[in-house]
Amino acid sequence: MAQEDSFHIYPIAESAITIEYGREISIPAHQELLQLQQVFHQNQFCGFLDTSITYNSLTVFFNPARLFSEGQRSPLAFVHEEIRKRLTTNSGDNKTPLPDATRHLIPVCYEDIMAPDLQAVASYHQTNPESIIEAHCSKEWYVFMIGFNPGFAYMGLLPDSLAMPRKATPALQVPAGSVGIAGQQTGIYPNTSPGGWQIIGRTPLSVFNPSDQHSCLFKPGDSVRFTPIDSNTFKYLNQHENP
Amino acid sequence: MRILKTGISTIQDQGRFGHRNQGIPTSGCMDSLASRIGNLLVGNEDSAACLEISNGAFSASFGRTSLVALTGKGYEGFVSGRPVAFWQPFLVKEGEFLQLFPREVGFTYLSVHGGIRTKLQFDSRATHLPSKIGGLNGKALQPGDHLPVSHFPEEDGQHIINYLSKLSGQVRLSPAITPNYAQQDIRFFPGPEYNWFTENSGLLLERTGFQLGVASNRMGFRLQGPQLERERSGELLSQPVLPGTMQVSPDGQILLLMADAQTTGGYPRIGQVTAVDLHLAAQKAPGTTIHFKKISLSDAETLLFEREKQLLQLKRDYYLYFS
Repeated sequence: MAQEDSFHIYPIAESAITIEYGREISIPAHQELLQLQQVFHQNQFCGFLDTSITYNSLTVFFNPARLFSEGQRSPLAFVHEEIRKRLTTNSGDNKTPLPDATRHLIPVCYEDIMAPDLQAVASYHQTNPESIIEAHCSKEWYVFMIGFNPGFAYMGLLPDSLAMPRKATPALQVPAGSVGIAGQQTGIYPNTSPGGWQIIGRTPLSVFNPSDQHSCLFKPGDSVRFTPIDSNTFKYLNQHENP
Repeated sequence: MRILKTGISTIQDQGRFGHRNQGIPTSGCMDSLASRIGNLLVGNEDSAACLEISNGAFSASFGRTSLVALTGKGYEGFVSGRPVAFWQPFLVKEGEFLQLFPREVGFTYLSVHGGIRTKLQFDSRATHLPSKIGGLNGKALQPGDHLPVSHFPEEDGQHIINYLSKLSGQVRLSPAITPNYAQQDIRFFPGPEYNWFTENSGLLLERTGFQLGVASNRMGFRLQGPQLERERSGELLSQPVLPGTMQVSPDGQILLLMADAQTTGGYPRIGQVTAVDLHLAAQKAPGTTIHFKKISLSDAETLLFEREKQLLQLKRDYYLYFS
């Protein structure tokens, strides 16, 4: 693991401290944060509540009231020290192994009716929709984080030949399962919601189901490969409530 | 307990933790202090679930005698026609009705001894309406809903019930502990991207009033005020946000995130409302003006320490009084 001083540690609230690691997006750096996240969950300090990972940071959430009742005057100072200890121990040969990652194969229908922005993405890159689909299905994408809405996975990194900025005006209604592109990221809308990503297809799979114990299909560190299907196969596989 | 009439009311608790990596928000009571005091008054732990009542008249009937309390803002309460005071425990007898009539915008909390015992979902009973998580099937309460409550009082609760049924005695809280909803100043400390904004924006933030927009809800409050200008351009990689985070959208306006806020966001975070003042901001009505006052994070932590000490003391004194 990199030196402790390459981590930038700062509070964002009375109940949360962020550990930032690098300003660039990189999979190896992200995996170091995933290892660190394991350390916090396996070796919990008093008052620990949760962690949250993003592209380049890990944030630790805790309950200050709990720490006050244990006699701590400054929960922030206490947790900062707990973070520092874990950064020191989780280094060199003592590194916690990476959490188990899942490799997903996700069917996507790229036909016009489900891909309102596919033509725009193709035009943006001065190519045809077929080569956009081919590129989108050509390799595994890494899941960096889940955010925005429950179950919304941010995956990447897309090459320049696929990347495209968000829409200037977000669409009012993006159907559940829609697969989009925003900058170097690709992702799937778990539920029908407003959204600004360029929609190039739709998966019949439900990626977030709150009634299921394993409600969220993806977790940070997983990888995802898309595979094209036609609209008949979509109908056959469809898990969405309101197609 | 059966719901007879309701505006927008949901089952809430102190929030949902442990699932942020699935993008699941904290949720929980908007005015968490009021709900914690409500729980205390009826002999519950902090974690017990209560009803958050807003936007219209509410009434419910009780299948058996229940120890309840009303806290928060916005309503007047009646039990079978008799007015009942906020911030004190009272009994609703078997077959009686509790009615709440709106007087101003705000959230009122109905706490019942033993708590609302709906199913835990992701370790919490809090309702998150946008993703249909928690509460009663992920939905707001409807007339006709039956809410599961405990029928067997625990020791602290039994003491309070005995006291209230023997005497027509009233128990009032010291006004020092109940929130001062008229307080205009909302204290904040600088967020991680505070320095992305011009010095003048920092001054404007403290010297101008910000008006609460009409499109405000449990996810966030849109504030209208002077345009806050960036000194530093560029995009922020999505970073964690939480209730109280003051984001600045590209048009230079503040978006104050509330209980149902998403877990991550890409707008720069100019500030964070202090934990001791967030419940006051939560009770502000659209159109009201908020004045932000900057303090240091370490002062915010000290204020929180004092608040928690006060609550702990109140809890000790309160239970001692009845035992």
